[in-house]
Amino acid sequence: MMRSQTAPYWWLVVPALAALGVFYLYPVAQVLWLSVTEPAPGLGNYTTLYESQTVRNVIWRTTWISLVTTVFTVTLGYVVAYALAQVGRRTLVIMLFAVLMTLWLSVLIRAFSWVVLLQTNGLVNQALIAIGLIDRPLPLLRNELGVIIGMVHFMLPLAILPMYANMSGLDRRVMQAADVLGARSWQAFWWVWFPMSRPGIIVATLLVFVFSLGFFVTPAILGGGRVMMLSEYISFQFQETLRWGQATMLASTLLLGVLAVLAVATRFIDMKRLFGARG
Amino acid sequence: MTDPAMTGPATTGPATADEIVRIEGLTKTYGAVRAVDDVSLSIPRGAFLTLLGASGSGKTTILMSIAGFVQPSAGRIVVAGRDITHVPANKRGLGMVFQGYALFPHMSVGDNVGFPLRVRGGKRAVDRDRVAQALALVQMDHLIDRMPDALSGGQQQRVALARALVFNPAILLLDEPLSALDKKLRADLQWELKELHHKIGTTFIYVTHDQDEALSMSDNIVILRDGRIEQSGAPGTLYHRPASRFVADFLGKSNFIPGTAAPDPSGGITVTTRGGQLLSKALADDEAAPAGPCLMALRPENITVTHTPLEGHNTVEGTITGVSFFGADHQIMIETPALGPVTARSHALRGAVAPDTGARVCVNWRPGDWRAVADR
Repeated sequence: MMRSQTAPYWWLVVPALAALGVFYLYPVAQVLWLSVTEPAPGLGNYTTLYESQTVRNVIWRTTWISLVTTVFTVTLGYVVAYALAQVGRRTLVIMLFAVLMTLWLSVLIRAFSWVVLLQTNGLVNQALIAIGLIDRPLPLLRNELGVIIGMVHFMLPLAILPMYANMSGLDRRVMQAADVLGARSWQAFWWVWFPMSRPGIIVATLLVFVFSLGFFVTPAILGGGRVMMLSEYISFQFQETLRWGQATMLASTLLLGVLAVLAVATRFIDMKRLFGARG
Repeated sequence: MTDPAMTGPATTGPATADEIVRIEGLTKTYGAVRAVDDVSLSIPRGAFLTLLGASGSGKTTILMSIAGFVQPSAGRIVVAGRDITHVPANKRGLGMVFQGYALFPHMSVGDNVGFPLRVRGGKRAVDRDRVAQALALVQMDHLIDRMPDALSGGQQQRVALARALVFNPAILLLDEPLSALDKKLRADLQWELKELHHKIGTTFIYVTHDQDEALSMSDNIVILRDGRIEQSGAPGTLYHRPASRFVADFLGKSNFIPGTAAPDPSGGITVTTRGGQLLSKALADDEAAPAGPCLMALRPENITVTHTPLEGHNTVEGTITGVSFFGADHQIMIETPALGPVTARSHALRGAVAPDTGARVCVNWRPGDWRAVADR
């Protein structure tokens, strides 16, 4: 009965599925295919993962920077999301607008703005010198620090929004219950609020980490070619050295890495619930 | 007509020995809206007091002020001799059961109930015994390891009760705790709550919009209307001696008969209806005699429907216009030339007449069975 009633609606999904197939699955399949056929058929490209010190360095650096970025982004984002969940309606609108505005700005503009701020004679260094905290400019650009600052800034809305969505759905009476039953504010926070907000933290962590692994623009600009992460390295292989086999192998490795992270995550959490699919 | 034992004067007087909560001139305004308007209350230790009112009557605001979640605009709240008006909620030491239970979803039943002890830094072994005792009190000790989402609504409600009582608070606040449950379960839990109150002797302050709930459980009911106390007293007093049209209509049902009152040589009163019929009214001991224009309230169950007038009763003739069957009794709608439409309730089996639509009948009630109420 149900089947015959719902079946016609599946046709509505067909255009979307077709578009996905043509513009997404097909190129991805081709990347996978090239990685095992170019320049010669076989897994020859993948041996570089063990043999090349450069490739291993790039992968290690990418993982490390992504981890640090994730920790800082989720921690800072949690504070903002918590504030969003507490403030009144008018403040909320202003704060949400500020969060979303960074999301609307082009990633290029944001990266170059950070270059302006962080360069040797930039605003940050000048300010620090002016208030006497340092004597000479700190190296904030073309190193891991600069990359992480830029990435954390880019990722913040991605962390704030899911955590805020989770927190705004929490039952306030549960917090009132903790309060009236005698919990001090730190007890109410760590024993009740924080555990209840964990699903939001997990989503934010996954989202930021996965995004960071494949991030290209910000590391390329703020790293200035000295902090080469995986995406930039792949792009380099495609465009400069023309080693398409290597490039597609690394792209495939990145894809498999992301899938592995998600697979591990699903062992611990209910993905469907996290992303809002119920029933 | 306010029971003097229930509402004290707004001025500070010496607290009586068995008074546990005293509310003086409590007012809460939101902009121009007076959610609570100069409410004063005295609650005796061990009472089961119900704040009853429709939504917007201020009952929840009063409860939340006692709990500490609403800061009053004016007035004071004194609990056991201590002014707690400006004490934060977590320092008031009150138990509370919330609408929708508000259990901690990530904690087991045992951890939920143990929470008030844990935040107070109790010894683990002692805590475990007290948790077990509190759960036994509500017959939930066998589910101590369950998570809240694996419990039914009634079970969650019991856990919420155990959690609120585990640290032996002097006062338990209950905010419409049964409103999410279905009718039958609600009736069972009403009974259990009353038993529990009797057993542990804690003062219960209960908020509801359900008249039946209030009537069946409470020692005292405070009826609120637009942020003010309309009338307060024992359930029987409020039901049988409503002061106003509002109370007579809110608790149960009433027929309202406007008329003009004049003293009667027998010591009672004669009420002349708009239709010109003379009816007699006997006065209860505490009842002031109305004079001039008045409004009389007559409960449907005080009416006897017959074919011939009953001796010693007020009798009005009429025609049955409709009948509703409710199982144990009938509700009979009767159109009378003297009073307009009248509703009577009659026992389904023992009624004097068959309730047939169109039948000519007599509407009878005793002179003492109706009451003058204020028209508000």
